[in-house]
Amino acid sequence: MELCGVMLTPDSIAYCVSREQLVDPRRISDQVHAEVKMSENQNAESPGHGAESRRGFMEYASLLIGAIVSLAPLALGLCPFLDPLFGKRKTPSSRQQKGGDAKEGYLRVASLNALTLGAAPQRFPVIADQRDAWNYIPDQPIGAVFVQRTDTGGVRVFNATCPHAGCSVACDGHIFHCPCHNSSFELDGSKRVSHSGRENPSPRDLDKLQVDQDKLEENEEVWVEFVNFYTGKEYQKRKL
Amino acid sequence: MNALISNLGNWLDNRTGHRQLLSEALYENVPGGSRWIYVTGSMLVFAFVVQVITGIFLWMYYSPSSQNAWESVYYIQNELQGGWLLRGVHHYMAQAMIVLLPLHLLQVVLCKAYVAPREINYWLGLVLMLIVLGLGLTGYLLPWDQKGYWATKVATELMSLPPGGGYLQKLVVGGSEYGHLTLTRFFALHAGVLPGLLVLVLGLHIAMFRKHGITAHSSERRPDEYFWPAQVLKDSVACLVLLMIVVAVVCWRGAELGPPAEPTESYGAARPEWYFLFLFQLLKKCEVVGASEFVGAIVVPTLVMIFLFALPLVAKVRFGHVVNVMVILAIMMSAGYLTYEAIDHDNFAARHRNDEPSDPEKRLLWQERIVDSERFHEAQQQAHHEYERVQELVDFFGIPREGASVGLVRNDPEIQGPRIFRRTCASCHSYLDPDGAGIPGPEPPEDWDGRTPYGAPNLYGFASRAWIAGLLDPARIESTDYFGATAHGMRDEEGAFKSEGMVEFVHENLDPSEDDVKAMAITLSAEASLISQRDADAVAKSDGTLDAGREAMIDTYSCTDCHRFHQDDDPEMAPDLTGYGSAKWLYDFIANPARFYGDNNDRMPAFAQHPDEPARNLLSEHDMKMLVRWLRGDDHDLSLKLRAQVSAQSASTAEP
Repeated sequence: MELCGVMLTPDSIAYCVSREQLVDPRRISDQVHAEVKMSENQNAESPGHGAESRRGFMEYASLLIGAIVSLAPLALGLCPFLDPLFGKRKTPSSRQQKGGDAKEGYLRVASLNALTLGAAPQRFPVIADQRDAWNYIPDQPIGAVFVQRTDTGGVRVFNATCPHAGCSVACDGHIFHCPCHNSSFELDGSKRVSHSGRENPSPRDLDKLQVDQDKLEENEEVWVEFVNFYTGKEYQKRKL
Repeated sequence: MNALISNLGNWLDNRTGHRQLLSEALYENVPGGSRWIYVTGSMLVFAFVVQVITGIFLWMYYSPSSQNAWESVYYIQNELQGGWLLRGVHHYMAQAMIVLLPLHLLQVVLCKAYVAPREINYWLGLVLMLIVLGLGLTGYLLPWDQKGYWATKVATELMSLPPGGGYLQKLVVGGSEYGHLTLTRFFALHAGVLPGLLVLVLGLHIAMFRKHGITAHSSERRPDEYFWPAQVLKDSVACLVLLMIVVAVVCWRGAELGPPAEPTESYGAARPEWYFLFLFQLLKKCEVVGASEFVGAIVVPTLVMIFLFALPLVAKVRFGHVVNVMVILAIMMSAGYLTYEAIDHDNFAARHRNDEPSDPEKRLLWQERIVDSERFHEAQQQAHHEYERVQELVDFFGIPREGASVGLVRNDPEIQGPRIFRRTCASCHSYLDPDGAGIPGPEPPEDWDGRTPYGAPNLYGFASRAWIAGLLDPARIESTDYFGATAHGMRDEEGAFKSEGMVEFVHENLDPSEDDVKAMAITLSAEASLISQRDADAVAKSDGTLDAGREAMIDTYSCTDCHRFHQDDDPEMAPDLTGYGSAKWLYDFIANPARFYGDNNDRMPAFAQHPDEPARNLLSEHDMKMLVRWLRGDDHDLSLKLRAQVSAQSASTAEP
């Protein structure tokens, strides 16, 4: 058995758990007496190494069983504890049928009419079914996006979460700025250096989201693939 | 009697040996005698015991889930007998621990109590410090208010920085997003794992302290003393003073609780608890030297911790102790300075508004700091107002089962109205009270010639008497508060109105000082049935003002030549004045202004054009109702709302 990188054998344990250190000396003398007696008895019946090996077995066995019973409760908790790493929950069957021809993973955030050409980006909540552990809650705001219709008629959508440390950015019509650590971004989402030249702590631009061009042209609706990304990295890495 | 007690004592001692234990505990020799500087350790133990006891009582009322956490803390804070004091002591005693920890550390280092053979005990002390910081971090989230939510969110986001951190983050948060499991996990850490570990390590820490004894040496001038009673008295006095300070702070300031967490709303006042502000500021500092946040959030704090752990080893080299003392003082002073700077930057506008630097480059930075701190204070103010509003809502409705955030905040026009307005309406309309406070609309373009529309009316107090009076005032209807920024108010190069309509009519025909114009304003405003004008409207009805106003509208000024007003055969060239500004009228108007303006509609989109296909509308029915009720001020004063409801009920029961 290995514990903390040290091979444990009955002998090494006997060494580590030196009796003189742990046990009352008077008891030791009793114990020594008893052992001497035992070995005398055993000597009468069988050769000495048999007693040695039996004691060795008993020590092994009690350590093993002791380890099992003390680790078992921890082991029981381990799988449930790690569940968030694997946990994929089923969608309730009543909510599995998504209506229409929506692309997988895309959500409707706005109608094109709600956006003025060339106006400042507008903040929209992203509405979807939300699962929170034991709750399944239909049509909840699960995030927020900024949508802007550019002068050229295109639509730009950014996740409202700051790529620096995950706060929610705001827009004053001229720039995006984050209230936590002063990240700021141009309206096209690119990292911005302020007028005073103050550095921008964000490692990357605002996270641009994919817009479904078919829906945009045919239905005049803004459908977005809503994704959250890990913060603090120079590149986008999806949170799953 | 004494004999009986002594016999009882003997009986117990034979069975438990308590006398020896007690005398070992109390009659420990203190070389050089008792001293005030030794109290920090005992104070920390005392503070921890207070935390355990108050924590267990709080536990009896706290419920860790995203629907119940804030709600149960609100209950503790506002409804439970003495709950504010219990929570307050727990809140501030935690902060006292954070203040005492560095003092204790400093004392240990200055007294050279960290070198051989006490290294292990010193390391145990550092582990204890980390556990206490962990307790502070986990405890901050539990109330699930905006402040704790966003501050902790940043902390857990930073966890994903080192390699494999994504998994760590998921394990701590209980998934990739915050929710029930974040609270249950943080609560298990805060009330189970961390205190359990702390008890274990503290036990070892004290046992080892007892093994090695106090570092000081006895001298002739200062004779030895026993721990009991001289040092115990000093310790207890210090603990009493600590308790008194904490209780006083609770009575003075109370433990703060913010509005309930709203994961999708931007929160501009997100800050960690003050004792983590130095880390927060360090993260901002990194931007100055161009280091990545990985350096600020992980590398620097780790290096500092490694140095702290290495202190006993450094002490072995020559002058090592001196170096240790200097570096520790430097670290503490830096942390103190960073904390000060973080607070200073957040209050920059208030403290440095008059210190405008002459150097243009510095001035730019100064301006940016002013703006940042103003935003911070505005967000803090807003959070404060929201909390007060939620308090009103709880008093009025109670907290529903789905929780305060979903059940109250999301359905409150006073909170949601301004948000929807900013999002959807403020690109054209403003909402500014006479003092100029509120939601600004668009600014006129830089090269504005006064002949192109760029905005829309100020909707503060829409349909109230004051608002309508302004509408009927030639001096004001042409201002940007009304139609001055719309197509209705535009003049051509010769100064004539481009469109024949209301603005021109008011200009040519109305004098706001005349009684019948005033009566008209009152009559039209009464159409809205505003709750805030109920009494005034009733008076106007009984004293004949409404009749006079109606007469003026129909006969004197012939409003019904263009507008419909209670008659089916009236024309529909201009907006319907029947029920003008009432909840239904306003809803229908926002839903589809073309129904009211026809071809004269100036740029206003139809926000709910498709009643049968809600998905195609710009605003949901819920948002529309929030907006309408907020613009009308229906929920502004809940006691007025209650009165209106009660009288409506009694009217309906009286009718049959």
